[in-house]
Amino acid sequence: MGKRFNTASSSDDESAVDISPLIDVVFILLIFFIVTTVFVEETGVEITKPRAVSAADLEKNSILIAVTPDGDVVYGGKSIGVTGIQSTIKRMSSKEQLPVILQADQAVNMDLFMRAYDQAVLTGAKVSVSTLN
Amino acid sequence: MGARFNSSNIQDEGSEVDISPLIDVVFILLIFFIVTTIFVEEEGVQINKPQSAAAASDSDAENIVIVVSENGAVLSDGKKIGVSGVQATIRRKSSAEKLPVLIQAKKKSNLGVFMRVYDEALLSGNDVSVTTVN
Repeated sequence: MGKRFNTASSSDDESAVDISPLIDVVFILLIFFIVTTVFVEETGVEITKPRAVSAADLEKNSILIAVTPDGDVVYGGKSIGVTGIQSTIKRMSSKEQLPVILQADQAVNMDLFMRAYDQAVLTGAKVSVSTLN
Repeated sequence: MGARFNSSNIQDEGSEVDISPLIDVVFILLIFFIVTTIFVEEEGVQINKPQSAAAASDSDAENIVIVVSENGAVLSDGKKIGVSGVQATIRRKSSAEKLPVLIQAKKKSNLGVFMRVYDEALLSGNDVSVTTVN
């Protein structure tokens, strides 16, 4: 603040706005976004989640796989089919074992859902079903 | 850059490092992170499913079996109990000791109904496992 009122002492080009508080705020925002960012590939399909009261919060950094009511299994906007689940999970967790979140529509029949669930469990990953509270 | 070489014409306070390129870079990073950030808030449950069909059926007598049928009906011992009756049925049958609950979902039943039954069974506090049947 003091600097702003000193401008009379020197030439015209000294009368710049003090931007250091702005930089502080920008740095804090930057650090916030760096810390909170996780790079998760979203499935890209809209589903109606089943309801469950006993749901717990799931890990943010997970592999999201969707099962649509017309029987499609979708990962990252691409249809991979039930048979593609294992290879997709294995490819994604080559470095570390990531948990899997199965986003299945409530109209999906149990046969398809259980086949998808089995495929995911066979990889050894921790598999959860996404629900709405 | 020009400002730095002009510093000789005034006093000492004019000789500051030009930080505007730094700010540009920081702003670009900030915009990148704002644009790429998605806030994934997922809630869910884990399902306990025995890996072999034999494991689930060998102790049939000591299980509380609940069937979810194709048309969305929920049955126990052949009687319709409905989703709201699941907890009461489990409580009544496990009054002496906590028996494991086995949910048999028909292959053509849908996930929404199954999930509500599974949820109710979990809330009763017993062990719950799931199989699909034809």
